Amino acid sequence: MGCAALLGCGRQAGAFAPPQQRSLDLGPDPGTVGSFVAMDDPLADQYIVRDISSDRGYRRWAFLHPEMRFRVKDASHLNFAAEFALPEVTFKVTGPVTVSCAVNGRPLGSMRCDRAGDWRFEKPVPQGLVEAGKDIHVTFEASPRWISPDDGAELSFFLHSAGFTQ
Amino acid sequence: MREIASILFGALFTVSLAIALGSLLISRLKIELCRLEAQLFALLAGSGILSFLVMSLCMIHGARRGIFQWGGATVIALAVWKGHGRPKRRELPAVPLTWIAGFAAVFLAFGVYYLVNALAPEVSPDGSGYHLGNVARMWRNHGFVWDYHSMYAYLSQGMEMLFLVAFTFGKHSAAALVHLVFLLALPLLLVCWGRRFGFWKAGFFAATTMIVSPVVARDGAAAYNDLAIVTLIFAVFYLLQVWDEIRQDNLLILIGVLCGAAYAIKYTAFLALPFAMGWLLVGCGWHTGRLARLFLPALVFVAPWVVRNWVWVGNPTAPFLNAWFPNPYYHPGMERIYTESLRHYYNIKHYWQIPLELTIRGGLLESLFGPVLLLFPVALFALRSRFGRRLLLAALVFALPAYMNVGARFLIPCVPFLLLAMGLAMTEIPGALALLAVFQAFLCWPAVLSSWCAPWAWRISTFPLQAALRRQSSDEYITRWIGDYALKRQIEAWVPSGEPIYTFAGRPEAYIDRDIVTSYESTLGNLAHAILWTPQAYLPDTQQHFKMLPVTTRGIRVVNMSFSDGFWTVAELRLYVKGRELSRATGWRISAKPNGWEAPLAFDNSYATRWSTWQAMSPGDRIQVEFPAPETVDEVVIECQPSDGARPRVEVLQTGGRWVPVTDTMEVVKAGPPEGIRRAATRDLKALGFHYILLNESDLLYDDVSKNRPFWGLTELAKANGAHFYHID
Repeated sequence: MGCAALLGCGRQAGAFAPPQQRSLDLGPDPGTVGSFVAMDDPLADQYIVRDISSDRGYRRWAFLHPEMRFRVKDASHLNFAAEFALPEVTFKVTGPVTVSCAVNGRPLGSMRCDRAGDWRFEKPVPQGLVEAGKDIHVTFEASPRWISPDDGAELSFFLHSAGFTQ
Repeated sequence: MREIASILFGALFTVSLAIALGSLLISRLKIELCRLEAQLFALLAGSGILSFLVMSLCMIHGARRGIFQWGGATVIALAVWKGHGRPKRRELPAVPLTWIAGFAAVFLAFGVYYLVNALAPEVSPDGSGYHLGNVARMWRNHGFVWDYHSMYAYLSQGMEMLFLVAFTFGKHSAAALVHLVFLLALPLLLVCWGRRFGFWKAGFFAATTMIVSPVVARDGAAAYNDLAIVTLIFAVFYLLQVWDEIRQDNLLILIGVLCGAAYAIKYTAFLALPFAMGWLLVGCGWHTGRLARLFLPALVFVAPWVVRNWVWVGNPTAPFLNAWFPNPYYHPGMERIYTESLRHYYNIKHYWQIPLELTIRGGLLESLFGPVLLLFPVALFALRSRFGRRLLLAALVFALPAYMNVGARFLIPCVPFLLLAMGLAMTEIPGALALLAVFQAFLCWPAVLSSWCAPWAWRISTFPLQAALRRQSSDEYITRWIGDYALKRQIEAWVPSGEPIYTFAGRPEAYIDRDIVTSYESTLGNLAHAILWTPQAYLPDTQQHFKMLPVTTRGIRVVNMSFSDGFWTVAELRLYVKGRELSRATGWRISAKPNGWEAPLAFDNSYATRWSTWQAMSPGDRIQVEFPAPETVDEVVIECQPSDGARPRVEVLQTGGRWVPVTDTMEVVKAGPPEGIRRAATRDLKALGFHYILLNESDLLYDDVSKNRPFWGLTELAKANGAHFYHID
């Protein structure tokens, strides 16, 4: 033992081949967002800036001026898409609703929804409107909105999902 | 009632077997001892022998109930048969009955209190943690578990070997009872010493003061090993003086056995052997035959533990001296952190606090010895006599390990010597010793003690009779003391057998039927700890770019050129040519010094893992890659959390095998934190084999996990008493 202590003969590690390479694409961290989100995603709250209900579920109410934020890794050839629904109960009151959308404050387009049910809004994003790696703010406007007779709350539509695709 | 019977049988069987083995040895050696002495030394020597035999069985996975049962019964029967008809040993010199009666009253009263505590389910931190955790693991596997790595598994486990026999029959409480037997043997040995050498008053005083001492009581009534150590050390001292008197060389063999057994129980008791050898050298000069009689038996008991660790871990002294004996299982840096944490009690602001803490308060040094020990300077008066000088020398020598850990229980080995020296110093003062012993006994009676010591001092504070008799549910009792025990059922239901669980804090391993990997106990634990801590502490948000003229080479390495106390870490090391990263080919050979085993972590493309020196930086530390064929490189990039004090330099391998420095100029670029780092951490933890994590609310990581659980990819399976149990999705 004494000799061993003098020699310090522990084990030698040797050399290794490179290990399996790990993926770096692991999604967001707290405070960061991706390019697309469904409302039942556990991280959906990260994407909501304002006026979208916080109840966790398959769809959420969009209120007066709904606003969301996203980030993309590549800003070329992007489409923006949103899936939403107009419930029968509000449609009966409002009639046809026009939903418009703006990206970073610039209008992207609008669509007229003339029945109750599911709708999909999809438009190409003009080149240069968004930058990779930076927050992209998306706002929606619905007109007319359903106004609650009880408390005056204004409801636009039920949002299912929204985001940028390539 | 059956459970109580099993517990008592387990403990009694183990102790009887030890006494039987010891008796056979003492008879064989024909050592002249008095009756009570012979019985006590038989217990101690036999414990060493039994521990050695069980250790041998553990090496070959032969530690089984049947072997213990029938082998033990045979040995006991043999000892009884051999002892039959043997001439009676003489008695120790008589002493006044009043002293015997007084001591017996204290011994019985405190003994019953301790017995009830030992009989109750084991709830001590180390007992329910690693002491019996190791025992339970060995019991499940019939021996040492070679693929389970923990610093506590590398320590010599002589006491755990005795616990294993008792545990086989009576589980946890039987093991605690075996330790209690050593606690009860020590005062008897002190009384014997006093009677044999003519200092019976000092002997009774030391025995009484010792047995009622709060730290001695708490430790001795739990599945620890400190009381076994102190009893063995005192036995060595005792026999050395007997040898001085009778010069019977066979006695040296017995002393050697006790020295070896002491090391086998705890490393810190290694001092017993040099102490005994020094005694011999001073007493009779160099005498090879005598030294061999002492040294060789000790070696028989020491060597198996040394050899086991050398073969198993690559370090005969594991878990210490890892810088001398590098190995993939325990980092030198972790050893430094661990030993420094034991050496410093951060609430102690001044050395003058220590005597008061050790004798009266007990809150800052874990426990206390009782107020009479405050008179310890009186022991200096014992320097007037030869015995006094010897006692004080022994007190000094066996107090040395306390330098490494100033907790009260690390001072227990020196206290019997100190108390005897105090006894010698005051023996002529009429009534003083009796008065002090009664005073100590009264103040240390558990109910009285709780009224004056620090409330959090480690001590026996209850008389858990209902739990001891199993009239109170064991689960309920254990949960009251160990909160996370409440998760036992959920853990065992969720975690498949054989799967490990990761935890930052120690857990009651003895009760959870799964392997628990604790952060600080192994390199694997360290790695998992570092991975989980990445978002808070090790975000590799800095790139160090080393640019150079294109060079075609068979190897590149980055070498540190400075000394620093910190660790040098590299999360990723990337090589570039013309701005394009060289893809990492399977033919590359990656290595590092020190901690070469973790070099691949700098080449796995994960920001949650990193290579670290895991010891203080020194010039020549390096991480390198060699290519199967020459490659052209013009830039080396280290991605890391910068290490204070590191001064890296890039070197290339020339034809002929010489490494030549090319640049030590780096451009530092703040890259920002990588995304998905939490998810990367749990992914890499899974790759290490962990699917389950236990977190305490007091763990620093808990806040982040509780706020950002979806980002970590964790699902909470259960929680209880501040402990949370997660599954990695």
